[in-house]
Amino acid sequence: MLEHVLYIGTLVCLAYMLGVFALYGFLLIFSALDNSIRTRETLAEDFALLEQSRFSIPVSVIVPAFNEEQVVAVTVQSTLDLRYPEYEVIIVDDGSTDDTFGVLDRMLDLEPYVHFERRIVECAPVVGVYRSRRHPQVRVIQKQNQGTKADACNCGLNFARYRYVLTTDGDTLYEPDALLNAMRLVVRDPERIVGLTGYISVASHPEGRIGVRAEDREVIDETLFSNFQHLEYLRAFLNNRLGWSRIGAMLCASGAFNIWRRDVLEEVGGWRPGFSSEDIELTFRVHELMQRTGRPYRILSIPELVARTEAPSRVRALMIQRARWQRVLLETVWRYRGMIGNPRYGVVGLVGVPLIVATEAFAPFLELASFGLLVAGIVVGVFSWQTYLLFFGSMTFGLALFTSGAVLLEDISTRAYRLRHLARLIALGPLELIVYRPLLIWARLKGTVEFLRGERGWNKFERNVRLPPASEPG
Amino acid sequence: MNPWLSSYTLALGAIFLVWLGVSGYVIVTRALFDVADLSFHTGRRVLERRLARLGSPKAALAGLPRRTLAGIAADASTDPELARAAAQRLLERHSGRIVKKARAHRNEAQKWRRISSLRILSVAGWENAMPLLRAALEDPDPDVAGAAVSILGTLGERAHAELLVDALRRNVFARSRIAAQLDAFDVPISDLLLPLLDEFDSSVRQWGATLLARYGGTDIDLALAGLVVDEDPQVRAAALKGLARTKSRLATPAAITSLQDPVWFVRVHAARALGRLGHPGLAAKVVALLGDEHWWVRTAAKDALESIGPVATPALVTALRSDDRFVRNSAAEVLQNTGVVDDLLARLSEAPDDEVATATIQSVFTAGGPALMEAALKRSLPNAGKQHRELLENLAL
Repeated sequence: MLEHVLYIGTLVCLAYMLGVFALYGFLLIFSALDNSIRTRETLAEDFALLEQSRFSIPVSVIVPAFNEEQVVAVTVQSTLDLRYPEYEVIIVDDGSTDDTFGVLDRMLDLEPYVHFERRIVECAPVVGVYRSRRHPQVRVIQKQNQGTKADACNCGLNFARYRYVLTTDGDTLYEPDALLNAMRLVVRDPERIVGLTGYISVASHPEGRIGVRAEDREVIDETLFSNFQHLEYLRAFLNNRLGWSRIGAMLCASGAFNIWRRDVLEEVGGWRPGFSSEDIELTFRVHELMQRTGRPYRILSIPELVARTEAPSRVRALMIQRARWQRVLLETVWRYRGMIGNPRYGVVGLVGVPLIVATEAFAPFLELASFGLLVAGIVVGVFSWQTYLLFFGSMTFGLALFTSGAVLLEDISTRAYRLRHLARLIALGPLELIVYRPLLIWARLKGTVEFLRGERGWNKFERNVRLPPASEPG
Repeated sequence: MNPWLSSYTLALGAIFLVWLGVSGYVIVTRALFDVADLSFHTGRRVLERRLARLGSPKAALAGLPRRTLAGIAADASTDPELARAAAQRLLERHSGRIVKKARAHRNEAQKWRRISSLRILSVAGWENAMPLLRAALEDPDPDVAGAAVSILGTLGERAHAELLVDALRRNVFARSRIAAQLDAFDVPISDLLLPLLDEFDSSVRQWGATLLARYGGTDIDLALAGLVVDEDPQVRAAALKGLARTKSRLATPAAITSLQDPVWFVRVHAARALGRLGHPGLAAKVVALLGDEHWWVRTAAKDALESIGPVATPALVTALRSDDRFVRNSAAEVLQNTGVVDDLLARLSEAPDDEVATATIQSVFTAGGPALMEAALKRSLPNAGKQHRELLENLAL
């Protein structure tokens, strides 16, 4: 009986794994198509004109910052260096208890003033409004901390004045061309494009790339831990989100770089502080609204690198971050469970949400079960250890195949890697399942338990150690 | 049966080989790219040395292979004179081939060769490039049409503008992109744009009015003024923007009339136009918009009053006593942003008995609330707690 159960269970897990691989393969095809189209488009794009034209749509850039004294200066500097004809920067100091505001004050030469903002969405009370004497397009809003980034984004939205709003992270560095690359699509079709995100890479200390010529930059870190995260981001953005974007079911506009059309943000009521993280929930909500009301719309992901964010350099920090990601995924999926398989929500309801549930929400259980069942099968004698090794090897190289695919997509579109970077990343692919994946499974299980316990909260991971203090440009 | 010889082994072997193949492909294609890149840049360096030695682009380009010449001619970053010389040299030897490629495409690869060929023909000033560019504009593929728009904009002569204006009228590509190219033309093309104002399609009229804002002159001003009563609000807004930008004498009456427009964004542009024109006498009319029912009209009114500057103060001081809280708040905010509040505080620091300044600042602080007062005091008297208290006591606040 036990043998029978183990055998059937293993078959189910195997079928699941094959299904997931088939989905990723399918998405990879769409991603490759999207990547190819976008890369070619950029060759024919007149960026110089877009950068100067008075017809480029202005953007409000919101930078929420909570206790970011180490990196906020370089983050803000990277937003000031964006190549775009018209944009404003609204920095929301979300009740920081460290010297975040002091760093901003020294950098921007702030003066207090009053701005009677439009209270479109609720947020914690504003305690001070400042404008920069050096950069007229920059304002700093000090508010009480409410515990979520969503609240800070809502505060920024109340002050934003342009038609498109870009929200960012206070620990992320933006590529100078990020807005140009993103908005070049928006200006072509502002009626339909309501949301947009881009490819975000990771580095232990992203500020280390500031001021370094593009051709001299090290695109990847030297540490394996950071490299594995780099590979994971590559797959998430270039294999998956591009594919989902092409299909019309991109369900997570990353919080580190997401552009929204303001009227849509206002209509859905801004970001919701009741969730552990704000980005995926908002993307679901916008899809839900647009599909339910039958309006034509697009939420896109672009293959161009738009930003570099800080990757946790310690295992504990990574676990905290990933547990939160799993928690918010489950919170969101649970909140929007009515969309699952519902034809009213089109491709999002019939394909996007069910597959997210199957491949992301249930993944840690099924991944754990598949390995556990195989081990139990060996112990009981249903499978031989050779079978186990063959199965494991197939999984290892299957995952590595997608990694190589993602590396290929990025290299084709950017040509930023050096040959040795490519060799290193490709060689790390087969090791990921053994070295890195178990950490993610554990973190996701932890996040699931936290979700079931009803835990909320940002659980921000501690910043990586910086020996020389971060510079304060400006 | 030996478990190593099962179907699992075949599966693993197959997956491994596919991984190896894809990974090898990544490395090999990148290596090939690096070689091609190196040869292109080496070619460029050789060319630069030759240019320095020989002086003439034509002589320097002699003997370079076709692909290098094509790369130099089609690269937007190449010096225009050198690009033209490279393109002309290519056409001397391979004109038939390039024209054939520029004429049509059947697949993706051919499409990008077509775009490069179009660029080469245009850069070289090929006499028959125009029909090819016209055909490219008509192409249903947006990449080809977009490239044609971009090339025509780069060429920047009147004949090219004519094609672009026609493309704008017929909506063959995103109008905003065509308009951006037309807006960057150095040669005057207002006579080509004027007829757009009479088009049936309101979007064409709107873009016509927007583009004409660069020019000015009696004919244009009259035509734009006529559009201020257009049935389409987008056209009315564009006409107002245009008139304000040309600073036409017709702009003021048009903007004043439009302050009553039933559509909110036309009122927004009316307010902005008055701000841009900047006549102090118009401030009172803009102040009235601070109480508009629509938020963005009120915001535009604030911006306009800030553009008018401190000369708007009398109208704003009156608004400080409005029954509408938003009007009071906004008037105080504008006085803050135009520097009037700081000036008043400076006056009071020097002459605490100045009754006019005292009364005005009291009105501003009452209308703007404690936050505005605190911010003003921090700005004007940093680190002067005692002075703050004295001033506040004098103001009885």
